[in-house]
Amino acid sequence: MAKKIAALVKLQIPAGQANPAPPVGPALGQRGVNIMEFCKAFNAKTQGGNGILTPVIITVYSDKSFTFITKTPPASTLLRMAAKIPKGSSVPNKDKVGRVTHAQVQEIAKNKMADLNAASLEAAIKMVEGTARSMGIEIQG
Amino acid sequence: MPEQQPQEYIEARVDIPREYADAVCNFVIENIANGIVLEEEDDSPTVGIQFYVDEARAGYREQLNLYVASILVDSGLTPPTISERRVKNLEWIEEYRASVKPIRIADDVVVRPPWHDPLPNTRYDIIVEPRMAFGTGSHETTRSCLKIIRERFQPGMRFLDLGTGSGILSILAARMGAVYVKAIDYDLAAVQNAKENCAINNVSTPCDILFGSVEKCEWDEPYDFVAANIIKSTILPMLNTLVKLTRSSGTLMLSGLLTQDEEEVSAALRQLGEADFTILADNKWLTYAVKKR
Repeated sequence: MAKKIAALVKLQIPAGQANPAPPVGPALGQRGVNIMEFCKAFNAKTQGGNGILTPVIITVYSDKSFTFITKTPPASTLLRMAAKIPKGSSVPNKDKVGRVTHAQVQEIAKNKMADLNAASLEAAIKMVEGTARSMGIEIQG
Repeated sequence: MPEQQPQEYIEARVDIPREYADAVCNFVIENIANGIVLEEEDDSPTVGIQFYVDEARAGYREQLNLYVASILVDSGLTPPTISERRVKNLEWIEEYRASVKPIRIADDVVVRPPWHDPLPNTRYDIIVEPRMAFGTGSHETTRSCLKIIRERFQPGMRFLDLGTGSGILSILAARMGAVYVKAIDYDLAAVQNAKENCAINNVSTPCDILFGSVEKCEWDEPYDFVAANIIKSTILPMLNTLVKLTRSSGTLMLSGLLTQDEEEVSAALRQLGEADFTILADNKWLTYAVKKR
């Protein structure tokens, strides 16, 4: 019989660097998961990832066992990399910190389409454009 | 150096309209916290973004409020409030501790938390206080390592344990008659837990439990049995040293490796002239037992 799912935990943490401090410790510990075993499994799976921000969905079962899947980095991380900037703007309506092309936005939207929960590629592109604006990244071309 | 951990954390949560959530997550991670928890329902227009800051970073609220106001300025939406709750550091492990049960590893080896009674027919009854250190006996790699120690370890051997975690492997080696154990971890919480567990198990073997890495043993006399249950990216750069630290005909045990690591690890061992090894697989995890030439 399939095990009963007790919780789904969604985290975004750097690849290869999970440790029992927050947010991993409280998110998993309070659901009875062996925190260190998750950290080892996550770090082993993502050890080549250079610390890139990694979304991970952990399925916790009623017997406290768990499985997890990792996803590609969020669109915001991909935008920052495409714009070649160290970080987004803290006041994006005033301070613009970088630029990406429409083609780059389209590429990111295609890559992230499944995760963005978008009904169409156009909808996904709009979402990525909105994220770019909220990071102070201008879209050109 | 070990980091001083805060006594308390602020657990903060802000609910953001879905279309802004990715950017706000990014802002929090770039400026405030090193990770986030997302709470979202598929049909909800908002996403809950939860993160943790230590008490000293009280100024984060203003920083985040300014940012959120900046992205919502043209939307007509009211910036959401940030809710907070104080949580004591490590209080979250209590639920996990409560879930730990005795585990029989081999016919006569059992690992259990201190509050459980010993199981019958157990020659090696290992007590592990479950804290923030790896190695409670439930993980595939710990199980495999314990099985290999049980099969291969002989009284009178010297044991080196890199990435000792809870000290579980060292405790079995000590109970099986090690004359000396050196256990090393780069996490201070693990070192403390390993010392605590050695005391609970009344380990009488001379033990050095040290904070650090391979530099704490690289000039030691070779050991009869060397264990490294870590991960590939840590093991491979020090593989040459690990081989040197193992005496001829001794055992080098490598774990924390995934099935996809096999080709690379096997090739690295062969390149060092070490081709006499067996691999114990448990689910997707591999443990190498190398007989040093």
